[in-house]
Amino acid sequence: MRRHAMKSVILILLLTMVAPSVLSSPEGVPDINFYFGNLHAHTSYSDGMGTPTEAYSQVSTIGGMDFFSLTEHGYYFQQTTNIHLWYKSIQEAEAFYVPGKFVSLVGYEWTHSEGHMNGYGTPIAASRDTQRDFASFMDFMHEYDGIATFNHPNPDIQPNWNDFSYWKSADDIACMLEVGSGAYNRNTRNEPSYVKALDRGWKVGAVNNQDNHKNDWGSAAEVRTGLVAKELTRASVLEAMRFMRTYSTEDRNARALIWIGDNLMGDTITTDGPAAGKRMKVGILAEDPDGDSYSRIDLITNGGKVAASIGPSKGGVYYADVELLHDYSYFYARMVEADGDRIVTSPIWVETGAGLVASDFSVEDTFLVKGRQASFYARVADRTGSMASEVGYELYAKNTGGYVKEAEGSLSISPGRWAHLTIPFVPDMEGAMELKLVLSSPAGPQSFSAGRYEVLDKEPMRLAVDEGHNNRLTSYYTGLVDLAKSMGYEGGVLDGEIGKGSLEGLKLLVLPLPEQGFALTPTYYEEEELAAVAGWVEDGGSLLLLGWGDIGDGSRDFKDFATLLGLLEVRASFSSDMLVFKGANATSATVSLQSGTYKIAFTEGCSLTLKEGAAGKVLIARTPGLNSKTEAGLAESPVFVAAFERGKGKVMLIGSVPFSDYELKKSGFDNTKFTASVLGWLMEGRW
Amino acid sequence: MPAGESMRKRTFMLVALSLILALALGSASLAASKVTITFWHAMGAQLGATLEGLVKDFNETHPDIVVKAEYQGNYGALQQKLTGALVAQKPPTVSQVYGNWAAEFITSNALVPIENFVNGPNGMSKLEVDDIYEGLRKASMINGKWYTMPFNKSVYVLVYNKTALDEVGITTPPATWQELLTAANKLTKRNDKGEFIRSGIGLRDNIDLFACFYFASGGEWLDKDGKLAIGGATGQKALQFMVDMLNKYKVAAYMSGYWDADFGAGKTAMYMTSSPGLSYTESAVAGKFEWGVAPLPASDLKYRATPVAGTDLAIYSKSTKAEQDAAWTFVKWMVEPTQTAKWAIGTSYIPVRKSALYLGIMKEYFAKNPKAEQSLKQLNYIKYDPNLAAWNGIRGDISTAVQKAFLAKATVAEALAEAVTVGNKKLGF
Repeated sequence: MRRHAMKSVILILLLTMVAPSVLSSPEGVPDINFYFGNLHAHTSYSDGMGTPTEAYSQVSTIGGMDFFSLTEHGYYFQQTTNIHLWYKSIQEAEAFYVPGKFVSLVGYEWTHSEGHMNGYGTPIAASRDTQRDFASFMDFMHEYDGIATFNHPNPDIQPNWNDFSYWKSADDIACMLEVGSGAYNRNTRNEPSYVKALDRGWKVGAVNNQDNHKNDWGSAAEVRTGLVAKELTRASVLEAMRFMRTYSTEDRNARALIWIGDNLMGDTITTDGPAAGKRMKVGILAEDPDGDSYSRIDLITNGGKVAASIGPSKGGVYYADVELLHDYSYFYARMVEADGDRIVTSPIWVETGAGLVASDFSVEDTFLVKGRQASFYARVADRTGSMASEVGYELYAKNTGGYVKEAEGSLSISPGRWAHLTIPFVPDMEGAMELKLVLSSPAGPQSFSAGRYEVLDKEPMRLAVDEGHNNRLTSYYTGLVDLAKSMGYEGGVLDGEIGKGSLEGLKLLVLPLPEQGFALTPTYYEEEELAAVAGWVEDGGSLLLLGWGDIGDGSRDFKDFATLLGLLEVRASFSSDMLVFKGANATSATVSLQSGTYKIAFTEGCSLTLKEGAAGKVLIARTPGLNSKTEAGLAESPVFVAAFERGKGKVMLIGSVPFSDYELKKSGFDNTKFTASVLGWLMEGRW
Repeated sequence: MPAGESMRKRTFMLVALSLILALALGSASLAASKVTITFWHAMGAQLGATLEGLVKDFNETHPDIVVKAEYQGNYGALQQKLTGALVAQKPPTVSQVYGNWAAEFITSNALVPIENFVNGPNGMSKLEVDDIYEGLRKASMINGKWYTMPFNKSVYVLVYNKTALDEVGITTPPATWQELLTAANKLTKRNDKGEFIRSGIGLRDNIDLFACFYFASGGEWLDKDGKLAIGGATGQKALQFMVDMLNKYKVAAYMSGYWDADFGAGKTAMYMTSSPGLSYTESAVAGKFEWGVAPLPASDLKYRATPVAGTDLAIYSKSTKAEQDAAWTFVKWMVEPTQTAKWAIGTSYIPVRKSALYLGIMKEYFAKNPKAEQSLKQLNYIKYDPNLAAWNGIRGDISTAVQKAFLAKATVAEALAEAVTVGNKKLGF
């Protein structure tokens, strides 16, 4: 038996490949059958096409589907003219049910702005008109002991039940999440939402449904919900859905399964004593009857982190030996076939049973500095539903030695809900620091590995963008802060009056032009503010002023910039014009700095005017090919960037904003490099 | 028995029998002269209940006509089913239609222009025609011909939590955008994690909310050449203001669905809705606090405007003449002052007849529900969608632009420019 070449494996713990026996039961694999189907579809009984009879007939004939559920929008069934259609659907489904061959189900879709959910296993349909919020829908489902799915959990189109904030009462009902959804042009992949839900305490299984709105049931896409059960009956299919014996597959017949001993995907293993530190052997079956091979198979755990990985393989049975990092852990397998199809299994959970789930670990500071107060953050959910007392917490940090307690306290969590946890602490080490969070409740302690962080030995240099004067593109400088962080600079924003206090410790102040018009803050700088900035520049601060093209409505006024430049005796100013290219507003320019030439994107830029004998000039960059347009006409090759040294400080002017989140995300331009270069000069005087 | 008597008895029986027979036959032929028409609609829940009530009244007072009202789902589903039915040559006799659907249907002569009936033997007098709000009639014209009858029309209004406004010292609802921004800021409440406990205003990421801002700052959908005008300074400013409330000033939250439930739960202090949404607001608030309705704020008072939306009733030419006439009787009846008043009272749609406002039932209703009158204050400032077949698709393109801008996937200028390019293509440019 050959081992796979180690070089093709990216991250492994211990992997042993067992003889790949493709179709009969290989050694160790649970004896179970694989079935494939679709659990989300519509007909003309709601907003789709055709009838249930046509749908069931089509999917049971073209093959590849062992089970199929319709899920019409519930509110259709509540119209007095349409109530009979619910019962008719059930009748029509009955005509196609053949135990052992084909399972026809009838469910419904509850549509709500929080997100849509399919319901199954209840005698009547729920609807957003009657169950008008999440709580009422859950009451309805509890009354009938139904089960439900989180549909198409794409955060761009819906809030995802408050971003999967934990709620035990709903967790008892929801047992599936559409890791893949829709049959449209392409199936949407929602694995990040799956990870988020699992991290935040939800126990849901993975499914992949087509959400058919046309008469393409079965043929719309290759995607299927895979399901394991001992037999193919309505009861066994509903049970497999409830107990999360499902997986999402983009390949219509790929088999996928994970197990730990006798426990299959969907199960929870409750350990005797701590789970963290224990080792588990996870069995993984990945095989495609069509012989498709796999480019990688990952075992994923908390935080979406890869716990074990297998490189290119022909498929088969694998065992991953993993060490648990948390007292509440989940593992699921993600398999990627060579043709790109993805398969995602339901998880197996391993926990102590104490019932608290900690997730979303982070430190809220851009940088951690030895001896400087920092803020650790986590979310904590109560899965017991009965957390009556406060929960104790302890935060431990480890550097080169063992774990040292840094902070402790307690927090309250509403029973069955969740809470933010913020822990102030002072890291007293430098270099790599590992954090551990221990939660204590009446059911016992639970420890969570809370991430690894870098602690600096001294304060980084700081820069700030003013957002306190209705400045252009306020709130869109997070990309700049990230870029600064990657360069070792700590970025932030100012949101009040500028003075000695707000300028203290800053190396760079960025002032985007204030916008005149609708505002909640002043749109002009006070004299004292400008004087404070000027004094600060002379003492060594760097100032960056960002302009804006004029559109003739008075919203862009350079009066304060002119005053400030006057105080600093910088003989340059912003012009009230608009940079244009071939008659339209210019959206990019090529600019040369000491460090190189850059093609940068921007919108609504203006030019700079230089006065004779401008002292301390370091850089003038023109934009050949563009014109600046004023009422007077067009001027060629306008100046777009100018930089000066004044006193101990530096002043730079740019005719627009080259580094808001919009520009930094644009591909095909050098805005990131340009910004990095400019930051390097402004912060450290180097090109 | 004497022979003569049994003869008389027999004759009497015979006569009685033939009379009964004649009556039976007679009523059978009376039944045969009843015309049955189908009416496809998209009015669900409370709106559906009110509609069914009116249909029942009509059927009871018009024994020679049977109207079968059939709910087809939401507007998207209704449109799909109508399109399919026309292809299959089995349309209903009458249905709700949006103007842009009608524009498509008339290319295959599927509709009988309503003006044919208005000007026909069972028509409407000039007084009656003038009694229908002019803006609504104009909105029902396609290529200068009056095709459909305004039916369930709504305007957008600002809903506000009066109790909350009082608490922060605001005594009148905002009438301008600066007032709206200031109010939304005062009304916003956050926890110490910076998350909203209550947003100042709730927005939706669709064309209808964009229209609330765009129209109320001087915007029109099309320029004089018939091309999309949304990409210019007015359109950019309107969309930028919405984006700024969300991302820059952080006084707003948005979703794709309806805000009534969250408003009632106190999660937002203001939102904009079309007038029939007010019945949902009422049940969501359920007396927990005082709330009010105001005209939409404008960027400047001189730009006051509101979008008018909703469907008309259209009669299909595939029906027989008898069915069409019966349908017209139904349509005419539905927009009579009493019926349009009852419809408005039951749904918060606006009555389509000016004279409806003077009916006793309407006056009583306003006395009890002063909020309801706010919608009507804007009837002189309505702006409406063009009746072009391509408009339905273009609505989607504009909504996409709003979504992209809200998600910061594109700048406002880029998002609108893309919608203009794609939309103008659909208009044939």
